[in-house]
Amino acid sequence: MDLRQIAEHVWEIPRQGGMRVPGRIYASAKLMRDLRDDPAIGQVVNVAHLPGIVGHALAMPDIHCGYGFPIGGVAAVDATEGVISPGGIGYDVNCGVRLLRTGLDADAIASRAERVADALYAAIPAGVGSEGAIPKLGAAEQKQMLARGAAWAVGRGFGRASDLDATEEGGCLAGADPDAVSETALARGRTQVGTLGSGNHFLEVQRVDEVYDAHAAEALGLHAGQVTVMIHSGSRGLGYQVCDDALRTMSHAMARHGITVPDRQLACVPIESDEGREYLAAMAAAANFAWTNRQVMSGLAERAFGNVLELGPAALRFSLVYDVCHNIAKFEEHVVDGRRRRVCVHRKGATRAFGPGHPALAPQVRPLGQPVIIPGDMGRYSFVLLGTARAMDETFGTTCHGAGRVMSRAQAKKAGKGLDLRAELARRGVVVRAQSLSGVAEEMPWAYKDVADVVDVVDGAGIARRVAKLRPMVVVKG
Amino acid sequence: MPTRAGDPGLVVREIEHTADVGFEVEAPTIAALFERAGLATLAIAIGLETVERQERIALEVRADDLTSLLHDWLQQLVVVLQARGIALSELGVDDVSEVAVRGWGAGERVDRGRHRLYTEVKGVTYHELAVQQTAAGWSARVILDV
Repeated sequence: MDLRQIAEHVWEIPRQGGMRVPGRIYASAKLMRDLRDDPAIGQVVNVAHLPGIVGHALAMPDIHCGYGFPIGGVAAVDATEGVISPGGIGYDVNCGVRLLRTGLDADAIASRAERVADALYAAIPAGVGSEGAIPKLGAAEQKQMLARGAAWAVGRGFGRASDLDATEEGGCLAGADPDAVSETALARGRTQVGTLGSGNHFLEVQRVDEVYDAHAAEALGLHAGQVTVMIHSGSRGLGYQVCDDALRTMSHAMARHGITVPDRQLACVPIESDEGREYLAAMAAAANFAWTNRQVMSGLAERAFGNVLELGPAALRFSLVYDVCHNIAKFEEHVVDGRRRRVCVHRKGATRAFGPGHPALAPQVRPLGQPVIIPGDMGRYSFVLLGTARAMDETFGTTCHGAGRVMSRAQAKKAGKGLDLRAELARRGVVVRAQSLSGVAEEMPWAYKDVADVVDVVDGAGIARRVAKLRPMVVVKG
Repeated sequence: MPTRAGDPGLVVREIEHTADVGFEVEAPTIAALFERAGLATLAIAIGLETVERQERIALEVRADDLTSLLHDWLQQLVVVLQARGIALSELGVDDVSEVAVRGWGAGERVDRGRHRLYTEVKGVTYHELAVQQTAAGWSARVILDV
C-alpha cells in the first residue's frame, strides 16, 4: 500500500485504480506502525470508490476494521450527485455517547459506589432478553416516538427540555418517516426503549480527573472532582434491522443504477433515488430511536442516583453536557476545493466536531465549538474535547469517536483467562456490574488502544482540542 | 437429522475479527450446515444447554442465492430471539435449495433467571460471508455484529 506521511499526524493514500479521491488517515507514527498491515487501510481505499465522494476518504486515529467502511471512517458525498451507503453509517444507526454533569462530588459518593452500581444495574435493562423501562409500545405510540426523538422521552418525564439543546439536531433528525421502517425493525424496537444493549455499550459513573482548559470546562459546567455520567448506546435491534433491510434493497438496486462497489457491505444508491430517500427516512427514524433511548436512560440513571443517595433533583443537578452521534449521515455545507458545497457526510465511528460559531450549535456552546465526548475503555479514562475551525477545513468538521479495538473479542477473552476481572478493575478503582463476565473480558483495557494516544493525535492535528479527562468509578454493562 | 441442543458440532471454529465475532462451520450436507450455523449463532447469545424445548416454531426464508439465504436464515433466528423473545436450542432443516430454506426451531421464551445469557447478537453481516461445497460436504464462514 502506497501510504505517504504528509504532516506529523496525516498520512495520504494517493489515488489509484478506481479511487475517485485520495485517502487520508489521521494517525501518529506509533499508531501507524500497528495499522500498516491492517485491512482497515484497504477499506479506506474502497470507500474512495464511492460515486460522488468529494475531498478525501478520511479515517480518524481510532480506525479499525469494520464492515465495508472502516470504523473511524468519514466520507462526504455531493448531496445531489452522490450516493448514500448504509455501511458508511453502520448497523447501529446513531450509536452515540452522552455526558451528564451532576452536582455531586466524587469523593463524597466514593464510599457508596457499590450501592450506586447496584441501583444503576437494576434500573437500566441491559443485555440479551432485556426489556425496556417503558412497557411495550403500541404501534401508533412507537411511530410517534420515531418521529419526535428525544423530545418524546422528555414529554414522558425522562430528563428535561434543556437536554434537547445539548443534543445534536435537538435530538430529532429531520425527515424521519416511521412508515419507512419495516415491520421487523419496528418489532425489534418495541420493547427496547431505555435499554443499554451489550457489546461495547455501557453506562459509567465518572470523576472529572483532569481539566486541560479551565475556561472551556467552566463554560461546560465541569470541574475537577465532580461526578459525571456517560452513556454509550444506540438504536439497538431497530437500527440494525433498518441497515440490514437497506443493504438487501440496495444490493438489488445497484445494478439498475449502474453502480459497482468493491465490497458488498458498501452497497449504495443515489441519494436522489427512491431507495436512497427511503433509507434516509428510515435512518432518521432509527436515529430518533437512539436519542430517545439515551434520553430515557438518562432519566433512569437520575432516579437511581436519587433513590440511593436520597437526594432530590435540586441536589443531584443532573443536566446534559452534550449528546453526540458517531454513526450517522447528515446533510451539511462545507468548503471543498475552495467552493462551498452541500454534502452528505457519512460518519461511521467518527464524531461531528463543528468549530466555534457554527450555526448548527445551540447558543450556549456556539462560542466554544461542539463538545465532543470520547469514551475510552472501562479501566482507563474518557475525554471531553471541543470541535475546531481546523476540523471544518480538513475533515468536514469531524474527529475521532473512541479508543478503537486492537484485539478481537476472542483474543481479549484469552488474554483475560484465569484473571479475576472484577478484582482487576477494582484495583483500578472501578466497580463493575455486568450481565456477562465474558462480555467484561471482551471489553477489558488490553483489548483497546489507549484512548489518550488517539486524543493526542486529534489534538495535535488540531481537529479537536482537549478540555477534560474523566475516570470511571462505576461501569454498568450488558 | 437435526443437530442436537448445545451441540453445534465440533467443526465450529471461532474467527477473530477486531470489530465482532464470527465462526467457520462444516457439515456433511447443506441442511446440516444451516442447522449448525444457526446453533453456532444462537450459542453466542445464550447457553443452549439451559434452554428447554417447550415450543416449536416454523422457519422459512427465501433469497436470491445461497449466500444470501444463509444470511437471511441466521438473521431470522436473531429476530426470533430478539423481537419475539424466543430462544431456540434445536433446529431442523426439512428442505433447502439455492434460494429457499424451510425448517423449524424448538425452544422456549427467554428466561433471564434460568438461561445462561452471553453477548447480544445484533445481526448477521455480509462481511466475508461465504458458503461453499468442499470435498467433505459443505462449509460456511459467518461474521456477526455484536
